[in-house]
Amino acid sequence: MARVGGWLRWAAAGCVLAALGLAPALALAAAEGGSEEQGLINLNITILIQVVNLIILILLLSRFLFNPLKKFMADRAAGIERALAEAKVAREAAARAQEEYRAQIVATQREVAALREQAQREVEEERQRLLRASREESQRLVAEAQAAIEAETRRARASLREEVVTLTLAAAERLLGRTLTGEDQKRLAEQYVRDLGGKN
Amino acid sequence: MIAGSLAKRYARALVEVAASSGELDPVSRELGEFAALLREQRPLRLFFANPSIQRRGKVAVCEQIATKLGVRPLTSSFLRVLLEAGRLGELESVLRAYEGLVDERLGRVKAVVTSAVPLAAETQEQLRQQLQARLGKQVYLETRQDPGLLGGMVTRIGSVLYDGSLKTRLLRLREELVQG
Repeated sequence: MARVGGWLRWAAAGCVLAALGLAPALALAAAEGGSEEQGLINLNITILIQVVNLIILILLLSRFLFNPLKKFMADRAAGIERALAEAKVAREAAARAQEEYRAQIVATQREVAALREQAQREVEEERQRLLRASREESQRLVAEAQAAIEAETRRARASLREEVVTLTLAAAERLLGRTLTGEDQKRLAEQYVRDLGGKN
Repeated sequence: MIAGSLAKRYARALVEVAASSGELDPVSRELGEFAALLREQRPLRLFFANPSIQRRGKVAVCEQIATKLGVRPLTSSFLRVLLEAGRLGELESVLRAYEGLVDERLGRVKAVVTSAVPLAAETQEQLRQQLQARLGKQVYLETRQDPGLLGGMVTRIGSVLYDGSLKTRLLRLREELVQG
């Protein structure tokens, strides 16, 4: 469109220059044919014809060149303005979209940060919980082991004591069976009778 | 084993008859001898318990044994009654019930004294007097020996036990030492 407008502009200028160049030639031809005196400009019919030609030329140019050219220029300017307006609207829409995108990005970043913080908090809480559970479990196991050891120790001591006592008393029983004399038996019987009487 | 009430019923009937004839203690002693014989002679016990042997034969054998032991007619008759009723195997229960009823009737108690060695007559008498003083009843002793007691003695009167044996003392000492 701009190239067409430029071509028309150059065509109009060429026509004007041709008309301006043709007018002196016509005047010169008229002068050569009409009078003796020749000047730079001779006021005669040639001038009139040239003026009429010029007017006709101007009218023709105005009719077929300048008006379409003006209309073309006006349309072009309107198109440019419309394109500029559309571009402005599009730029504003793009700016709004960009702003929205930026806001969404910021919100998303905040959300991501919040989620990350919550996840870290939950991970830390879980870690602490696992640590506590592990510590409690280990304490419980240690306590159970200590209790089992103590019980086993008590049981072993009791068993050892029982075995020692049993063996000792078995030996004492055998010794008594061998060494008790008739006198001892009599003394024990008398002691029994006395004890029985003492319980009255 | 027959029920205690049934044994007491037999014993009570025997006590009544023996008391009327003044034979309470002899009958008790003779029944004890017969019961000891059954306790010690397993073939004899099996013979009386064998259901394939006719009762008439068992009665004949019982009477022969009674004659050998020289028991009085009342005792022999009572053994025959038990045999014909099929209760001779429960003679021990009847005898215990009889002894209890006789003791009750005569106002005395029996003390079963178990010692490691045989007790001297003097010791037995002292023990009997101590028990009579304690119980306020006439006491007679039934002595037994158990070397496992080591020394001392154990007296049982009914369900009451007076334990003065070395064996029990050692057991108590063992319990105390084990308990710590």
